[in-house]
Amino acid sequence: MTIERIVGLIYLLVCIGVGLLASRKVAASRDEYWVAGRRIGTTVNSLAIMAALASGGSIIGVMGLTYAQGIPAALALFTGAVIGFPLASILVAGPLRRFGKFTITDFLRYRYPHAIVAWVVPVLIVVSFTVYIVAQMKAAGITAAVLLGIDYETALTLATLVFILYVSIGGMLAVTWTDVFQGGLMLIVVTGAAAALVWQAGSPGHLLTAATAAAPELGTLRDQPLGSYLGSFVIWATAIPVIPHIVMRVFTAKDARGARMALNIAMILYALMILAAVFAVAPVGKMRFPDLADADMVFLRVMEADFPPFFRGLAVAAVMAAVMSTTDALLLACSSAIAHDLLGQTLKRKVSASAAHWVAVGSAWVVGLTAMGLAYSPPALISQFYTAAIGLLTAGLFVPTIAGLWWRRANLAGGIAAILVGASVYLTVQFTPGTPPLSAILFALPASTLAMWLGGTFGAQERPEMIAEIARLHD
Amino acid sequence: MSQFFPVPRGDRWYLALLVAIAVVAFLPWSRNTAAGSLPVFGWLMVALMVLAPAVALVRLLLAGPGPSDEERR
Repeated sequence: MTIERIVGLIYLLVCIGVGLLASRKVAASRDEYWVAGRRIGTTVNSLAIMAALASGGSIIGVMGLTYAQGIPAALALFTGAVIGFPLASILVAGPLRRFGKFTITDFLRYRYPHAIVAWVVPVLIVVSFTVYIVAQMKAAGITAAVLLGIDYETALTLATLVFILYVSIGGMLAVTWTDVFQGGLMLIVVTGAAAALVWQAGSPGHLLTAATAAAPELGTLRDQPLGSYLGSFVIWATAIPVIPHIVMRVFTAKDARGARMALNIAMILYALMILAAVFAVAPVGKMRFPDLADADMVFLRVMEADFPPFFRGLAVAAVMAAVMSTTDALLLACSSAIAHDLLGQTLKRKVSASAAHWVAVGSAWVVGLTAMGLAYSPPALISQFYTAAIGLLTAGLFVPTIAGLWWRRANLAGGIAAILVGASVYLTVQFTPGTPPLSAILFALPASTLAMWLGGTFGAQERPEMIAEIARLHD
Repeated sequence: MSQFFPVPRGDRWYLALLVAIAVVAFLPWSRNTAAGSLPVFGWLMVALMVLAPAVALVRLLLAGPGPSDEERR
């Protein structure tokens, strides 16, 4: 375990070092802390976006889902995320970058100026992202437990403290710098492992044929209802355009075209990693370890059995990178929801830049430690767990955001109704016994759309100045 | 005047193509018909994963740089 631990330790120290370096640049400016000064180039932003989305769910979770429910189910969920990138690129990247604020809440509060929006949107973000972070922490904990021989709780606590530390002191600049490094590491480890396994098998076709012959359920749509597959696809396709930690990346780009380019390149990198995981690593794991009690362990078992210590050390660092690069972005988004959206704007507190910075730091710690407490009792199949949480956010934000940017009749009544109805219907259906997993979004999005249409059609017409301002975002 | 701000024609066709492939993928035929080791549904998902980024990137590159946000102002 010595080599693995040394590689893992070096990785964590690098992350802390980056946070300390970035902290010198960000303390003086809100623009620097939240959106890295809006000067991140396309290549760097692409890797950072890919790393922000490619979470522990994408490395540990995609293979766990493939192992437990087969290749088609995993493809349905993760293809939805890939499709979400062009939607984001076409529907929100340009106008939101020209809008030029910090967060998705900034836009929604501007478009629908009402206290309900100002309170409900940040609360939805904090609740769903806290659940998302819990899933990431499980990935960090089981990785360290299996590959480093540390017990789950200790690994969880250590990893949490490190990433809260560098997010809270370094802001978006630290997150961007570390994400680039983390994104590269993830790509190398997952595609490298997949290439080695394919080479052993002879070809991708041979590997797939052998795996589906040994475990036929791997290649079939299992007995889940269509609503579950379609729901997981729709949740991610509609989440990417409004999910705050991706949208914040749009705000960091130099301009609108840079934002669109970065989203599309990120999509290619993400797809490459997912296909490598689904078609190579998970099938080999299914053949070698057909009876795992926890499906999310499959990647770790393959690493343990088939790769030398240095590569296992890299694998630990890659999973930690996946967890941390998403969790830091989630923490920053939660922190901004509390410190910027709720305290900074809604309560209209007159606080200095320095005081606001410390509120942001404190928010990151509160959210991170809360999630860590919840992660001590980890969920099964993390990818489904956090997808359900993201569904809540999508149900509330997708329709008002897209309508607010593209529909001239979108107005205050419609915006408020769409947010409240979308989130309420999602929660109601999600917790109704007998509902297929992840299918609640299929009810929530149409309900939210109907609410927006009713509000926009029968409510007071939007002010001409607002419509002119939205038109300017499309020029 | 249309109730919607206009989406560029190329973007409309691109989005329509993605939606069409997704709709076909979720039809019962695609889910119940095997091709090789996977149902057609699985291959269509793979096609979406590969086509969506490739086409989007080619379109952006062909469109050229255009005016920056600063120049627009």
